[in-house]
Amino acid sequence: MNSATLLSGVSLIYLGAWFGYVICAASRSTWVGRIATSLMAAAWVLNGVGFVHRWLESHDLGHGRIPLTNQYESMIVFAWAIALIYLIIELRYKNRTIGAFVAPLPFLSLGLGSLLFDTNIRPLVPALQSNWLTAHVITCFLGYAAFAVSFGVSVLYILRGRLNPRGIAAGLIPSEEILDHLNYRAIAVGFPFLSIGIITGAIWADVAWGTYWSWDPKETWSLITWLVYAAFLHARLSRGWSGKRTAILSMAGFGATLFTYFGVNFLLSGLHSYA
Amino acid sequence: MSESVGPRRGEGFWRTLSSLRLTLVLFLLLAAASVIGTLVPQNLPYEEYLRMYGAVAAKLLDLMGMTDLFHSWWFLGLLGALVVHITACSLKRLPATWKALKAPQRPLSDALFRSLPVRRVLEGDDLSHLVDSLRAELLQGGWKARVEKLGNEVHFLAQRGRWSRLGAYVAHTGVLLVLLGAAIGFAFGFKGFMQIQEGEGLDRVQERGGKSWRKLGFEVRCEKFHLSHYPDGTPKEYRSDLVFLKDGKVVLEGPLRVNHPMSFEGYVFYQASYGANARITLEARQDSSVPPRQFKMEPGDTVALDPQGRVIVRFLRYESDLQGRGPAVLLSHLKPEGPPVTGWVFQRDSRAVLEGWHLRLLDAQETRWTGLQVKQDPGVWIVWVGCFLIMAGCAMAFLGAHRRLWVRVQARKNKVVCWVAGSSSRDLPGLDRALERLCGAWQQKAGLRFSNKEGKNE
Repeated sequence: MNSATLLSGVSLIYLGAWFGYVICAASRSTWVGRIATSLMAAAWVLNGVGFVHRWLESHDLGHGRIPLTNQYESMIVFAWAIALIYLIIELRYKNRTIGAFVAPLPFLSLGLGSLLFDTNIRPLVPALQSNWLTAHVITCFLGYAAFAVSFGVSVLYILRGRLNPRGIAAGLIPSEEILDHLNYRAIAVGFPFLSIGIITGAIWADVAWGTYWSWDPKETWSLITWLVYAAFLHARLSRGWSGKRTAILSMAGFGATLFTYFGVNFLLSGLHSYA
Repeated sequence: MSESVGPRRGEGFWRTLSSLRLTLVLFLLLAAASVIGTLVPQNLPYEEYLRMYGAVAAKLLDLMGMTDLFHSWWFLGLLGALVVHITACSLKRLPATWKALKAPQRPLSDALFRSLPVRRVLEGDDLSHLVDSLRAELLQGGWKARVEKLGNEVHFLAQRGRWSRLGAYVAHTGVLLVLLGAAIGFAFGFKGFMQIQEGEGLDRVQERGGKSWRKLGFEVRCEKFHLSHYPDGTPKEYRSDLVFLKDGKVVLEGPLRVNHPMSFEGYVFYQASYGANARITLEARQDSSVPPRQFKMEPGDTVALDPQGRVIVRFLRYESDLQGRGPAVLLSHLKPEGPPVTGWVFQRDSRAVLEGWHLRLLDAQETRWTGLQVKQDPGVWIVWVGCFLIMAGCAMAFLGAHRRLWVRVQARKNKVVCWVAGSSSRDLPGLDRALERLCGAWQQKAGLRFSNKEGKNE
């Protein structure tokens, strides 16, 4: 079985985990919840296996390189990082309802990745042959994944505010305080990772082209994303914003993240044409 | 002109300058400007804007600096405002932070106990070795503890992670350094480009965006340019074998590859591009009665096709294989009036006709050239130091917290009561967990138990 087939299968396990979390949230059944968590954990492990498998495949083709260099490969890492951050949160906060809002993201990332993009393994062009590649891509995607989780949490927050606070549905969702806190924690993790991602990208650009910053659309949009989350942190930490306002800022930030990730590649042109 | 208005007005300005509202406004403006900068293509020739947006809009874009937005006066002004704002905020808040950081802890009173966010009350039987084991556990947990004895009470005043309060200042200093380094690079840096023929040398570099040349004071020779491909046709390596000569003597030599720049005398050289040039023979034929004329040309050369010197043509560029149709040259017809007209002339089946002259590329002797990006940036190290400070500041601010702990141990008739309370600059749940662990350790090692009467958390 090649890695692309394996990873398509993994996306279906993520889908199963999502169903599990939704059913768990609706029925409060503990054993369904356990199954959902097991599926999520299994999908995460196999996602990692698929990544390593793809790496080995590239060696078999005679031009071994870490699989972090095109749209499809980046979506493998994106899914893996989202699942990782989600599982850490589930472990710490012992709540599975958030899973119903986060689990679709790794499913979509892997599923759309293999449907929409070229899954063939291609060798690296000279500009990508750099040790900075790994640090740059991994940190960026850990950042993106943390933002994805904060987005899921923010959606849940907004939704919770519209429910009858004493109804059954509201009882299933973590309290507004916990959601608000989680939103902040995810961004407090994602922001430093995005910062390292931008900095390692700048160092790499300086090594490759002699320009650490050239206002390329990808660079500029990563800066826009950084500014939105910087605004979030300042508003929350120094101005005491919380709740709905920060949830909306967080959703706007994820919009900017998605545009940095996809929009720039498909709608704008620039140096950063790999992923 | 009353004296009471002046300072108040200044104070208001100062307050605005250091307000968090301004932080958010500046972030919003910078983000919005950046969005525009990615939607409007940057640094194209003016004709392109005319074509895309029409005369009025193109003029407007040009006037507002939108065509080179990130170097426009108003964008640089925004960055300048950010610098002033960050400086003002830091100056305004640093004294209070410093005071909080240095403030001596006072022993825990009942009022203070009730005002603190995280609290516990414990009980024990024996005071004798309690004090030592309490202190031992605090030290074990990384707390810096001071002990004060007041009558029949013993107070522990403990804190940790107080330098994390400076994280925000460190990160903001980093942002200022990045902008300073960028400004220094912008003002004193140099960027240029060299195109060196294989087997030849060059001692000057063309400034980027300009027509001016700069003397290097040494010569760069390209002995050979290598290009290799993977089996599927993807480029694998671009490599120039370079030699740096000073006063005719070889000082440095080595291969220059993408992602592996070379430094020499303060300049850094990057493998940027490659291409082919050619010494060509161009044939021009009018009709069969006149023998065809032949011209030997190099890129940049200009010739007149007719003996009268009216049809003037310049050789712009050579491609060894244009659109899979073989070798081709780009020629420009320079007219006495109006803009020049350019067109490709092929070696195979050429149908190019210019003012009655049939043009054909007879022969091309190809030579390869390597394109080197050349850089001198005295500000780049300041940028890297700034980046490091941003990360260090983030780590201090997000990973650490200034936590303070107050412990009051009071010996009563037949028991010992122990009040514990704490505060933290951020992450109160984290402090709560830490206190839970500490109390657990005290229960095990010092024989304390949670007081039934007063409850765990009141």
